[in-house]
Amino acid sequence: MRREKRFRVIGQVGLLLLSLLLISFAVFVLSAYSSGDMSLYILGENARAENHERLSAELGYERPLILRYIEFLRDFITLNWGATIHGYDLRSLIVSRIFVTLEIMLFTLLLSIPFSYALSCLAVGKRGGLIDRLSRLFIIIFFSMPSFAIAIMLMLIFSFHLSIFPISGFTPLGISIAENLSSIFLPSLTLALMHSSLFIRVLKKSLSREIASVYATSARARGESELEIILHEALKPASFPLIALSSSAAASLFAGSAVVETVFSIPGLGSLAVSASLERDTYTLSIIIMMIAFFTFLTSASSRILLSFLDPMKGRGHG
Amino acid sequence: MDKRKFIFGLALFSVLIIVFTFNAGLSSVDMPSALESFSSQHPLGTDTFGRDILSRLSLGALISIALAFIITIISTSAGLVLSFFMDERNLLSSVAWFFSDSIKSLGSVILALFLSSVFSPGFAVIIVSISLSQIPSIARTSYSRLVIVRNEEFVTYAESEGMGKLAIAMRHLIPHVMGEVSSQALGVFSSSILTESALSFLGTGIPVLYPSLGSMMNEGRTLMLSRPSLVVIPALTLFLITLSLNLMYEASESYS
Repeated sequence: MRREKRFRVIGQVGLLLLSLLLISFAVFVLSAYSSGDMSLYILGENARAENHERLSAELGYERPLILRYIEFLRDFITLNWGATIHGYDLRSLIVSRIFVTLEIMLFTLLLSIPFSYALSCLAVGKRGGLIDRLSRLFIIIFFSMPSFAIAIMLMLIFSFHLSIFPISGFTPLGISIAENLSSIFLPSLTLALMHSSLFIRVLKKSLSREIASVYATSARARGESELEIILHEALKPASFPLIALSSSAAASLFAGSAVVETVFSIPGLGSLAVSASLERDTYTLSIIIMMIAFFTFLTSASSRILLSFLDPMKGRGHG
Repeated sequence: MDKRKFIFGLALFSVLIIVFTFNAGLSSVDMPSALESFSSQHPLGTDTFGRDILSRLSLGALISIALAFIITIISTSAGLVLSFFMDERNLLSSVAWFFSDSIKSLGSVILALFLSSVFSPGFAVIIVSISLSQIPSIARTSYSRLVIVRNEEFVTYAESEGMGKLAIAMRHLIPHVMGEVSSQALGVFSSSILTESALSFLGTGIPVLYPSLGSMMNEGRTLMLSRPSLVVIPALTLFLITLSLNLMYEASESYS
């Protein structure tokens, strides 16, 4: 039984790894398509056809696609990433930026997870009470609000009117920890508000399902209060759907960071993706996409492994 | 309670559509009357190019809603088909899950950023990238329902009668998953509107030739302090549209 479970997890992780390959192939084919007329871009339309052909050959665009794909993959894995269209070294650029984005994501989770747990427990503990109604209001508002609107609103309130936080820009962690935290606070708060509405929604649903179960009823018969039942019995199983959600949460945090970093002009991976897209630097974007896919793969794989240890009832693991 | 919520959402949505339809129009550039405040001629004032905000707002909202509608139709039908493959007990099911996982790990904004750098940004890129990224959520909803319905007696009966797979799917399975799928489709609808507006805000969404709520907010951002209405009005409009859809989504979700 245990053995079978372990095999299933390995199978799932293997499948995820394969999907990483599929993404890399799709990304490569599309960017090869876009760089197909790179010689046109460099030489212009008036150059002679033979010059176009010579440049294409020099750039290596005439070799078979599959060979170029293998090289692309090899270069990606060995971190041999080359340069952006502006000539910046892509590896040092992405490494410096991904830490900024990861810091914002971490801070977002630190803000949103405890808040979501507290609010959902209190709301489910007293159905129809004030906190329950407030939590519903919170969900519907922040579920319907676009991320950039939240960001701009927070900026108006906290930076312009109260002047507590800097309007925009980023201070690296190495220079000043306090200034660094205050420069990423509003971006993280924006993402935290957005994602809390999702987390609370999922948690409330699974918590109410758990406290309606048989063991909750027996705990109630032992004289435990609703809040005690939630904390002692329901909290752990109710967290499983949240863990299963972590890979899509990671993907949506990256997407949200693209917007938020642009609004607050923070030099992260998201704002790099946006500027690369506007400049049509497909190659830079393809490396960014591979990095994001890799990170969501890591969260997805670890959440599945974690779930297989925590949850004895887990069926196919796709739930 | 829930029925009231649904009706309220539907009513709000209908009112918004009616208001947009009556006010939509392509307002031309008129520099002398730039940044006028509210007047009878321009109920919501004019923007930096002197264009009437109300008409641009309405047209932009209608374009967003139409796009989101197309996206919802595409991703719902593709998600339904995918869920039937997920339910097969063979290689196809692995491929279907694998496809769904691959898309899910990217997310629509990043996918759209990439696709609009490969092709030029435009309606096609928006539709393709958002539809693709919404397929997994529909497929998962449909699948979780399908697993239950498939073992119901009327399905086993139809199978024993020798009814074909496709016929069973059309006659018995799809009608039973449609309830939850259509509720999920409302969620897809509202999140497509949000994603599209975020893309337009970033400048890789709807082409600048057409008005859109996202790009209006981006233009208004520079004048945020002197004329907050340039940002607040499109934001509020967007909020009302997604709020009306989310109210219907939540109400229908707790029903099914």
